[in-house]
Amino acid sequence: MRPETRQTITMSVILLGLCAVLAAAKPEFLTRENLLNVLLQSSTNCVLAVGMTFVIITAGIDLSVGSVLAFSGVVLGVLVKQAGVGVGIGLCAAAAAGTCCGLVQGAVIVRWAVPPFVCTLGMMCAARGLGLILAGGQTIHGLPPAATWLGHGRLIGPIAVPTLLSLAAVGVAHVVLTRTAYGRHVFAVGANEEAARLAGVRVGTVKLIAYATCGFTAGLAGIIVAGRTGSASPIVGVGNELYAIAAAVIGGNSLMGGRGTVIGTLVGALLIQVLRNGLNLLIVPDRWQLVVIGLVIVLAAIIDQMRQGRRA
Amino acid sequence: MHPSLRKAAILVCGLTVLSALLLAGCGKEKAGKWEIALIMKTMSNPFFISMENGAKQAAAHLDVTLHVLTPTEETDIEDQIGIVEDMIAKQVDAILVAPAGSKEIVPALVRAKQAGIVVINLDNRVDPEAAAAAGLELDAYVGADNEEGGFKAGEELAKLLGEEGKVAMLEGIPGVDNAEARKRGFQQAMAQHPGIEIVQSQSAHWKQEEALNVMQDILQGHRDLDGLFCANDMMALGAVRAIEDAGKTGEIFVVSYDNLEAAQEAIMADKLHATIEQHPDLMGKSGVEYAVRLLEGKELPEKEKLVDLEVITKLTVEAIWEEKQEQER
Repeated sequence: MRPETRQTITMSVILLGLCAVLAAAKPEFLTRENLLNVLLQSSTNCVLAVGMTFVIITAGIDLSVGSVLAFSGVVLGVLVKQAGVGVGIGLCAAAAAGTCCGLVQGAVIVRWAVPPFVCTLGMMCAARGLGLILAGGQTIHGLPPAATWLGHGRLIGPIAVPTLLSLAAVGVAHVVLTRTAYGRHVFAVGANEEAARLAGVRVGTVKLIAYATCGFTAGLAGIIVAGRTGSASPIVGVGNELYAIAAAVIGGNSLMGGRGTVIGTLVGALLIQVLRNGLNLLIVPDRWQLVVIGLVIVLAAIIDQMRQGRRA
Repeated sequence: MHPSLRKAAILVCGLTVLSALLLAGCGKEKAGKWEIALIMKTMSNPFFISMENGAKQAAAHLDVTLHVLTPTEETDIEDQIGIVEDMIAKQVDAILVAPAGSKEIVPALVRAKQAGIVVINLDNRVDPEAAAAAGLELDAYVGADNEEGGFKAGEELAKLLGEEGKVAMLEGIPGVDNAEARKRGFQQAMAQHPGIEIVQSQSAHWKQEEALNVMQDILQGHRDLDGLFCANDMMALGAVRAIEDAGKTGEIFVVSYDNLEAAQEAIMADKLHATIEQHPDLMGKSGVEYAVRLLEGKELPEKEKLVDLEVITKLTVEAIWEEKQEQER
């Protein structure tokens, strides 16, 4: 069994254990409304983390997803509310905006070998600024129901649309990563870029697509958040990139690249959200929530490293 | 020890520690008659600690279990929405909310109302247009007239300047209701004094460190600045530091907002010249009292309660400090 699969299983066990402890401490945790809430609340991060997984497996990183999320939401808001464009076009434009940000980053990283950390840091600032400029510094409210459905609607009974979107994203990503040639190339590039290049893999293209995917999921997440808040806000998404990375890392994706699983990312995202939800229900002050979440992230990484038999 | 046994041991230890932390969080609440959630913007500003204290006082008298939850940063809008949703799942009786995003919080509050929860808006107003468009009817609003506050601050600054000079403004988070209202009020006050010119107006997002940097830049660009309005005390504390570093204390009159203790100290040290008291503790107290009234099926005296605003100057601070010393004796 691959190490990342073991990590996923370990984290799933921890997740179930956590749910059991929470259910015992606070019965309201297990109500249908609360569980559906947790799934809904984790969808934004899950969608972001799915794209992030691709990038992380190539041994890269994308710090701009929070800002791109906001920027895409603003694009949707401006087009649909201010320019009177049709909702379908607005949604496509928002997703395209995110994808473009990803493409630009990918191009810079590939063409000039700029370290991903630096490049995406720059985009993090630039996209935030662009979003604020486009929105005129204000939150655009009153988005039509058709535009907010992807973030706010329910499908298949009470299950929220974002939940289904995030599960679909995980599903598609998993198939791509495990059953397509592109997926194999992603792992190859992350594991040993030079060897992959010598083996004929088009490293540049692989990376470009990875960052474009990450931008696309950030755009999708922006659409979800716009639906959740009923408005296009240029100031949302601050700090989201860290939780996306945390979800991926907890799930067994190595920041060194070359190995990972998007199912693990899903488990990581759920773990983080279950923790937040449980701590909220327990009325634990936010400062302690941060400590607990930080501990969990490091614990997960330690468990993963121990499995590898690594020690400093 | 066998490697996988060791791993299992670590796992169990980790889970135990986690469970202990989580279980430590429960069992502390003694069940009151009503369960009310106070959801503010952040805890890292004494303004909100004061609001929490006021609410806690009222809760103690009225047999209320008060849950206080905040996101970390004032910009954590999604976090705050998650907290509201979690409180709905927890089936609290009432939610008192000072929103981080005036418009963004609307869908979550709609759900709260649908669940039969009393929703009272504190301090920063939920955007009325967005609320009307979504069919959200809040049960009450307790806050301050931020526009009037900004106006009063502007009038005080005009007085200090002798009706003429160049002023700058440090704004709160753009687009957020109280920030915009204070800005409007100040601009209105300045418009009434043709001898005063607003040469620069920029946001420092309510934050002290950011204000320090922004102010340094403003000082670079306007070496003949006479006055400054900061939309809150936290920013003023940063700006005042920048002024000090530039050696211009006493040359620039600074007026701000919130009446924090740190601001009072700055006033006594002649670094800050005036601030506006908004009585956040009264907001918290009234919020809880109104919620209980509504839950008991009674009517409210008014749906909107605006607390009194006071201009706090050096004389006022001296009086406040004397009174405190009297009480301690």
